[in-house]
Amino acid sequence: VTITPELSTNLKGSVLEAIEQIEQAYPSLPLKVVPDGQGGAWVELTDVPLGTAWQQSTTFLIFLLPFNLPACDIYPMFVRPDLQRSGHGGLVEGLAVTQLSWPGDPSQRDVVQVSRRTRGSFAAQTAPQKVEKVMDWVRSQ
Amino acid sequence: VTTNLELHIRQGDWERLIAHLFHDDHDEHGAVVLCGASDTAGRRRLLVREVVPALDGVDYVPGGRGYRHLTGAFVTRQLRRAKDMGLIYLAVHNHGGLGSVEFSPSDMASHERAYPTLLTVSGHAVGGVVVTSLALAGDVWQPGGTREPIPMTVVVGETRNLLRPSPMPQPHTSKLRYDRQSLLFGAAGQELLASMRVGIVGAGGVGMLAVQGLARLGVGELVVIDPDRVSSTNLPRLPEATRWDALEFLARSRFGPLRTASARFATPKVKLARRIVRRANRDTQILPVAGDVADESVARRLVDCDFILLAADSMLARDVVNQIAYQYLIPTLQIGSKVVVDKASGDVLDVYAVVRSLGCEPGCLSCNGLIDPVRLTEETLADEVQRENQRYIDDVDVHAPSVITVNMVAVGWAVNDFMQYAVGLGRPRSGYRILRTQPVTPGGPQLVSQTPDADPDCRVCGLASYSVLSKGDGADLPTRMR
Repeated sequence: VTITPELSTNLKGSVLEAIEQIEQAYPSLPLKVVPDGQGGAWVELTDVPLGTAWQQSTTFLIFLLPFNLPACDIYPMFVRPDLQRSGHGGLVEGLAVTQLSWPGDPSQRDVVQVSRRTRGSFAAQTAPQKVEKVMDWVRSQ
Repeated sequence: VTTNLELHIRQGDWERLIAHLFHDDHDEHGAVVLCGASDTAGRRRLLVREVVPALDGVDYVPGGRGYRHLTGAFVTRQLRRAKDMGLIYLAVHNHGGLGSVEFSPSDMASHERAYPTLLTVSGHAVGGVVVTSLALAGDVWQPGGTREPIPMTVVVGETRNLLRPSPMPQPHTSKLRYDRQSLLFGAAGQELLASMRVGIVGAGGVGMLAVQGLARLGVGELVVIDPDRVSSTNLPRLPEATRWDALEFLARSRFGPLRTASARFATPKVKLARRIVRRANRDTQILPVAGDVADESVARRLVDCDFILLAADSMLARDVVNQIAYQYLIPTLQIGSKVVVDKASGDVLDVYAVVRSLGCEPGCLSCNGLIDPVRLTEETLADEVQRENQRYIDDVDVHAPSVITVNMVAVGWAVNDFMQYAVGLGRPRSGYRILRTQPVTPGGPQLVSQTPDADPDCRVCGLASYSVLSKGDGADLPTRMR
């Protein structure tokens, strides 16, 4: 993603910093950034590897970097809706397909919500750490 | 030369500084304080984040030109730390005497020799401070080349202790209307109240009672923030609100658009606050702000307040005001009341008022789990559609019980706390107090005082490099860009 002057003036400093950290952590993954109108940004990472637990090899990952980072946790996160487990297919118990309205798509998109919130302190947690934590959990199912 | 520069320091830091500078040896000692800064229209505050004592004989040594001085190594070390954290470096030493203090000619000569170089190295303002235990004078050099004295220092804690280079003349009389209360705190106390700017976040059942109390006390200026309008269900708790303010005749209509109109055109709560203030005391100025404190432009109205009362219960409001209290060193009281009723049986389980002291000592709302991360995220999401499609809110229209008498318990305690802080009578500078009215067993305590947990790594009130404590304008607020 290119941080244009326009994008830069629409985002809080902590959000810009988080985007830069994500870019550095995943230099080969396509990254889409859409301001949320409050100083935060919706982010879509694509081609995120899913590992061997799933029949699909990659997923998109959509999440909000809130305007009040780092006071606020980064959650929820959303992945592709057609996930099938490698062994017996289907989703993990507790996961379900839902619809997401976000400013990156003109209409609702089918997604699976995979993250609710971080337990304990999240103030010192970086955005890539949160992404890795969630993706580790997805890959371990 | 500006006369509006103020140094703000927490009482605990001031006590540590004084204990280091004033020994039984009656000699001169040195230290450095590192400060954030806050600039608002015409007022600049330096906010002490850290006191660094200089060890006698190691960091503070006999000088060739003056009596004593900080060593080059110590100055370099502290200046580098200041630069790394974006803070202002102030060298401190003590003089004899009590109520008056000024730099000696050799002090001023040393400033003129050293500060141009320190300014270049730091990139931020630098300066010197000389103190007695009751007076403080400063000489601050700005990067642009201007040089400013520090006419007033504010020690925030149990009281608002004002230190100046020399004593100010004290008023002997106050207006007749203040005669009875001046018997408690004198004309000087009344003048202190008149000099203060107090922020009230939330002009609901709690905040509006506080507005009335503060205006009648004679506080100089109130900044009242609330985004809402008066509704029929507010009327039992809002002083002076009428059914016309709530447009009750429209709210009761069977015709939906009329009910919508009542919600849309009812009196804004901050407008009611202005009416209350004008009727209570024409000497009190009010800045009504019809907006959400989670918006940057609204929150900025608070950063030059002398005291804040937080009477809004959203997590965003708690988060923003909690951070302002520590980032700008503004003594703050979070006020609330709660009635807990068993949903199934209707039994009253708990009735209490709570007053939490913030800004002066570590142990903020964040350290104590009083900013619910789930609710904070719900409130952070941009609009109702996103909140709904992520299934966080069970029922946004559920309201908790609320009764004016319980609110009065909380507000009376909090505004009295403010009064005792302002006029110098004193109050606890930290701690959470719960005043329980139900259930109370015979002989059982109605007042519970809690010592809050203080997380040394807290991003708000801790001292880790990433914490916002005393950083003033040097750190972002957790607010929307609006």
